Amino acid sequence: MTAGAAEARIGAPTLAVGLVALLAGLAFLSLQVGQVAIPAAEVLRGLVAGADDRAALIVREIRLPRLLLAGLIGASLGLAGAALQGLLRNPLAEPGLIGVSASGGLGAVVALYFGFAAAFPLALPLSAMAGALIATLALYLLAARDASILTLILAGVAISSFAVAMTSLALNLSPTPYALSEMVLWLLGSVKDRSMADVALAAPFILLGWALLAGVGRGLDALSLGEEAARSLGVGLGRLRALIIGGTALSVGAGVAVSGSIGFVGLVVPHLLRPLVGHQPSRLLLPSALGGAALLIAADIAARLIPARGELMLGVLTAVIGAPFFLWLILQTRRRMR
Amino acid sequence: MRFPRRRRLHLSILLLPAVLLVGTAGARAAVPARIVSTNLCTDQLAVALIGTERLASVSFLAADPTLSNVVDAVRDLPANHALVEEIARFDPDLVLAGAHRERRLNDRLRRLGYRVHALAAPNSLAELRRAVTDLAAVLGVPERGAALIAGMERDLAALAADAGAARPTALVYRPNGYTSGAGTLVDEVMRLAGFDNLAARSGVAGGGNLSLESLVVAAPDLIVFDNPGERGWSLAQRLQAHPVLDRLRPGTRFVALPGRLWVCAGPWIVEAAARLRAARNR
Repeated sequence: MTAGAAEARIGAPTLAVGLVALLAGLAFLSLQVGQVAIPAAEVLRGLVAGADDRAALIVREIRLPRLLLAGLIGASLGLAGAALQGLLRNPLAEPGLIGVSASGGLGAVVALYFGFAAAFPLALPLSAMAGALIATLALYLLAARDASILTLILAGVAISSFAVAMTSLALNLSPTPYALSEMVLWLLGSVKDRSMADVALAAPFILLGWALLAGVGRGLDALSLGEEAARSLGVGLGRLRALIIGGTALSVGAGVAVSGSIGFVGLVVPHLLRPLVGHQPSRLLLPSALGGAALLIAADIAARLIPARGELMLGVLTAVIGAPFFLWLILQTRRRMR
Repeated sequence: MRFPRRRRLHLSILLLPAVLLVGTAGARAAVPARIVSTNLCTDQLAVALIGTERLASVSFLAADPTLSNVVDAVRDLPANHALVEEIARFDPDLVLAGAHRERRLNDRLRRLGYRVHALAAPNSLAELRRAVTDLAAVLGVPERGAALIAGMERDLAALAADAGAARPTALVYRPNGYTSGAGTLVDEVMRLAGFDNLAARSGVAGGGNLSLESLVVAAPDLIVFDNPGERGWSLAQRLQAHPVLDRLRPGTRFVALPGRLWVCAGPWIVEAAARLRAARNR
């Protein structure tokens, strides 16, 4: 750990408390925004069990599910991004960029548009998680041995393009007349008009994925010193890989099943927070989850506030923030290296 | 086997007036004999007016039972997808088409020398009457058009006479929250069935999307879904299964109306009105 990084670090509890406060503020704002104007006091009253008028119905059945999903999915993307960056020792690893989200989306599309999910609701998250798992495994096999950034990105581009093309094919072949017009949703993501049923479908798998990822901090810290060093410190590398790949597939896959794929969150959030927590991967996991949730909830607020014909897709907003930030980050890194 | 020369001449002189007569009659009314219809709405109106004998081909949607009322009638007719080459293969003397999305197709067909009758989608009963009258004239069966309209008016008048004083509120909620407001045939049918269309009242003119939140606030007495069925496997259609719809308020009723009853304007809208009326009296 360099002195510079140590200086930049702020206390982990302080950062966590700050992020939780940010999250609470954004959650409050998110519940205020909608097509119907509801006074803030009524919104809060609507959250309380027992309230049963139309305002309460809108808050509990329409606004709350989208807030919960944006939070759960954003946290999953941030957490999975931080964990994958640690595992692959590669700053560009991110569920969207390396094709895990797109492959999860392909799984979801197959389950939804051919009627499997209508017959058996769990087919939607299960199929999406299977897609995400296959992509994560394939990527790991392709890119783990050779830690070069280029290999990882090229493998990710291939997996991602293939998954997007197959998604388009599946939508073309679907007997549903609305299928093809929903392509943009699977590419860019949205939590518009989701219900508590969607939360109930995705949340258990997302939480299970978090549980798997929560325990990888110490292993990642050791791995940051190299595989040999990690092994000598008694870290089971096979178990560590399995936890991260499984946790990513569960949390990202189940999220994509209800929202479509949303890019850049897993990239931007860990990079933004790394200067604050230092370069120890274990310290990055919790803040990345909190930060990812905050970013996606903020994006979902903006999606509803920006006047457009139809609501903006979440991936549009995360890309608008994420892509320029990332380019700037590359420039900064290069300057520092010179 | 050769006729004497004089006899042959005599025969043709005899036939000449008959040939002339048929020729002039054809030129006056130009009754088309080989018709290709490229649009679901013209498919159905044409079948209602002249049956299938003079139809060479109808659009592929005419065979879709969720959208079409003439599935059985067109079973043996070749289908087309509104492509110029497909249409030319039938060498039609009349092409029936829509007026909006097919404008480019119609232009190309006309440039190639085909006669095209374009039907603009009617937005009211008055426009439907005019459309049927025009089409019947083009098809050479004006009396059939008049009879079709008279029958429809009679059935609708009977429905309207049966109207009670109370006007419950209703709202059409299609996939993606698409609804029909003021200035649509659906709105007119809903009013005929004795309902107050909330989409029209909340400012939707023509077709438009109504957000789920606005639907909760509107809280209609009756929500009309259309085009339900086994193919509801998209996010657009999942919106119709959102749990908030079941919790709007006690007494909200739902009715599923097959899309075929009003995706195209035609005499079958009488059935749509009757089904709405039945849902009202239930």
